[in-house]
Amino acid sequence: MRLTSLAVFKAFVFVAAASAACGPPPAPKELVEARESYARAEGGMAPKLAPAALDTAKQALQRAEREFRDEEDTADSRALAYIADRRARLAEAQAAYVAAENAKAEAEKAFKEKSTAELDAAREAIRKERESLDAERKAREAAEKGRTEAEKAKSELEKKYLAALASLKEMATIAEEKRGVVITLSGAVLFASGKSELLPIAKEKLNEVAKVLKDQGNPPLLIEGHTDSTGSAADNRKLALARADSVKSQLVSQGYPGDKIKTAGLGPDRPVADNGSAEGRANNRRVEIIVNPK
Amino acid sequence: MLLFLLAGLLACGGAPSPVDQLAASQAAVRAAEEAGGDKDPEALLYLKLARESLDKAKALMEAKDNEPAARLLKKAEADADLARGLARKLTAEAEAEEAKQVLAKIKPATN
Repeated sequence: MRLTSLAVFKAFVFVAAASAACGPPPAPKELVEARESYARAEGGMAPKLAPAALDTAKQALQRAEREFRDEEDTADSRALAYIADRRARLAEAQAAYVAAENAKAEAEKAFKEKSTAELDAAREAIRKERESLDAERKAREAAEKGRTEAEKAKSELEKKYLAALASLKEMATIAEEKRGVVITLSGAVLFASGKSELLPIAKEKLNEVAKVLKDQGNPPLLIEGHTDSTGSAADNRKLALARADSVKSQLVSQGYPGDKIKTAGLGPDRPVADNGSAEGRANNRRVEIIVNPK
Repeated sequence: MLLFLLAGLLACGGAPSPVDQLAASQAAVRAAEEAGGDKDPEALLYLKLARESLDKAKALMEAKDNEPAARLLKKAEADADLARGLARKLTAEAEAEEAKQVLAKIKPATN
């Protein structure tokens, strides 16, 4: 069996100390080891992390020391020292155990916090996505509403237009033809025979026509004068143009933009009825206002 | 217990048979084994010491040599307790290390 130099040294130191004090005989190696183990445990984390285990170790060591002091180097004192050594080592292991448990708990807590933060980030992303979807939906709804309102406005405009047409119908015939909406005013209502000045009643009626057309947003107009076939065609054309111009002036006098209105004197060139009868001739004497001429 | 002690005294006239200590030491060895004392080299060292002491003590008890048997059993218990503590420490350290690795692996939270 080989003693380590450290053990030899320890034994030497102890013997020296013991002989100097003239005290007890050298302690057995079990006790020496127990003292070392305890000192190591006490100098480490055990006082803080494993105080109960350290206290147990301390009591075990004190018991071993007492036994050695009272009974000296006996099997019992060696066994007690041996046990004290294990208790001290156990206190050290216990402290390391607690330290590891603490580290584990800390890591788990940090993990939880990190994953919570990550979860929060994910929630935030979902919230943002939802918000943008909401905004998209709102924009879509607003566009839809705008469209509906535009359609409503359009249908209201149409209603107004229809109402206007109805009021016009009382004094004129209105037809939708290929060339546009044609308002036909009877010549008898507008002019005295052979004249191009409007009758007072005609002015009133034309004012109403102007009002209705202005409500329609001043659409371009073509005013055509028509006559029957009685008399010279050239004279009739001249008269027809003069009458169309009179109608135009009346409309312009009501604020209708003149540049939107064209006039034409068709004369007898485009009859709508038979000039052979009085009724037919009356129908042919007319002024036509073509709205939005094509 | 008293009866048992008396019986022990009557039987051999020496120290009583340390059956309680034997049970306590055996329990300590089992606890150390359950804690994983066989897996950690340091714990295994003390667990082996405990087992050896336990075996010797049993032989001594067979021979009615009760006093040294009791001493050995106490040492065995202390060794087994230490083996258990070391095994527990090792397990906790491994778990802590694992928790740290898991923590390191989790992708750092953005903002």
